[in-house]
Amino acid sequence: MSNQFLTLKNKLPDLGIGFGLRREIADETFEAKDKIDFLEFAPENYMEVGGNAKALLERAAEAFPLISHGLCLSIGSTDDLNNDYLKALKKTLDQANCAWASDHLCFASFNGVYVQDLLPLPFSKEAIEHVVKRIKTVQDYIERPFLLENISYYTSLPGAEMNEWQFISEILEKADCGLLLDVNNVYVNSVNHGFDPERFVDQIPLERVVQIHIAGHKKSKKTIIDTHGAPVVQAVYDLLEYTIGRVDVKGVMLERDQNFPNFDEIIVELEKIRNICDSNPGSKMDLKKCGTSKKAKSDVQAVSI
Amino acid sequence: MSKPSLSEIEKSFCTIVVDGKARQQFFSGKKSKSKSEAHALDNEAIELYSELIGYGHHDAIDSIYPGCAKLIGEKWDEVVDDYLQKYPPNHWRLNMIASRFPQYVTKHGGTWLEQFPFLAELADYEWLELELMEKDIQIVCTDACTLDSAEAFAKYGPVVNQTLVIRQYAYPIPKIVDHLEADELFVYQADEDKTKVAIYRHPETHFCKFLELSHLAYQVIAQAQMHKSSFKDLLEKAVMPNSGSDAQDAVVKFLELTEKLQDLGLFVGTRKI
Repeated sequence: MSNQFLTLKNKLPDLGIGFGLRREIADETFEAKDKIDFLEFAPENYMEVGGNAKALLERAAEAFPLISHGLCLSIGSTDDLNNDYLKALKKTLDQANCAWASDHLCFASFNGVYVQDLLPLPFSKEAIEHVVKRIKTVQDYIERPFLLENISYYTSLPGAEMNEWQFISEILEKADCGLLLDVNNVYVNSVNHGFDPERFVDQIPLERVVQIHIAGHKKSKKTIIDTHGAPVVQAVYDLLEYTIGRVDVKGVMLERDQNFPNFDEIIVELEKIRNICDSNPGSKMDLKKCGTSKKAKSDVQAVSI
Repeated sequence: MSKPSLSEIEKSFCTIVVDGKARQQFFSGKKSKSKSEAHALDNEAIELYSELIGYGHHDAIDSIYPGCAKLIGEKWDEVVDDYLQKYPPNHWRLNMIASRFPQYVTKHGGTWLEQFPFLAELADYEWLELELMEKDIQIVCTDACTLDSAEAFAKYGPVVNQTLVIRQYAYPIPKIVDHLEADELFVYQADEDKTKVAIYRHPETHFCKFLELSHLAYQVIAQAQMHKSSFKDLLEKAVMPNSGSDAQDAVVKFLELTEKLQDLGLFVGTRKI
């Protein structure tokens, strides 16, 4: 099993605390440049798109380091990988000078139809073999480290032969890629499917975590829904705190995609995330903009599990 | 019974989250391979996926076709569902989900087209705004030279904005859009002369602009788009055949027109021919 990815990871830049590039709140985001270390964008909104979108991405690239987080690679789909998509993605990653790229461990298309949502995969050996092959192709094609994000899912699919963390771990190891650990998704799934979120974190290969996502969600009667449209809840901050001391992470990013509040509220959330990362004695993150409490990088080795 | 393959699972799952009828049949056991397959999935969760996907699709289409939505009113959601069933999203970019709606209206508009015969033209007009806003083209502007001599007139031609699209509609679509935006009732007949419209992305603001064109302006732009024409060519081919006996007046009008087209960003400079 190759560990080339871990060598690559060591060379990746420490990006700090990031936020999502959203057209609706772009001006406020640029004004808060001193509070935000990097921006993450959805490449599908910019691939083969000109005009204002292109201008926005260029403006963002001048002001911030950029990271790409895709929605429609459809890594788990049994359709062929979409070569047009990959070509356009690579071009955008190059233009935005992204240190790494990520997408979701899911399928988003079938038989040429894009559902524009993240559909879960069965936790099966067949799915692992299928996804692993495709990750290798993608990682080779885009010529930069590729991360998969654990998704929120609201039902398990038939054919499961293992649990979620075993599924994720095996894919990451076999494909030799990285993990974008979404702690909100871990929390949402832990409530919806009844498991201990900290145990989940303990079971995945944390040395492969390059980036963390944190976000808000919505509670319905029976289910918690990952909306990115509400403030982060304390339980998710707690899970971030639990996780951050155990990983050598290169960036933590707050997701907010809808129901935008006054930007001051976003700033408060970003500061809270920064404080968690900064005050955690085990944190290995090099926080670029943590003000007076900035501390030296810890010399603790990556947690081995 | 052998366990379903990854492809079979994805097919079933995709089908039941996007198709309400298939979902009902699946959970009643008619479409699932076995009762256990249906039991393995949570009906409420599938409904949730269906809702989330439907919301995203409708939201995108509603925002792109506000005029069509207003016109069709409370039946709009049914129209969108029918469109999505006939033209499922086949592109990674969400907005592209709406790209074939004008085609759908033309082919399957049925009673809606009888009631609103301009619906297909309205859909085309509304789609063009998004298409041109997002078009992956860098509008290349050049300096505009002064047409102060016959030589310059013959040597130079206009650079047409690369996003510019011109249309001739049977119905006065821009006026219809104004009425819809103002919630005003209106009745329009097809016009033999046709409404001529220019739609383009402004090179500086990147926003889309809509302009109603005179017959002369339409001819000049059409000619300039088709051929790399000098100003002299445009005058001879697009202006003179349509002007009266006063050639000098035609030249003055043409010069005023080209200046206006340049100011508005339809022409974005001049080039040597």
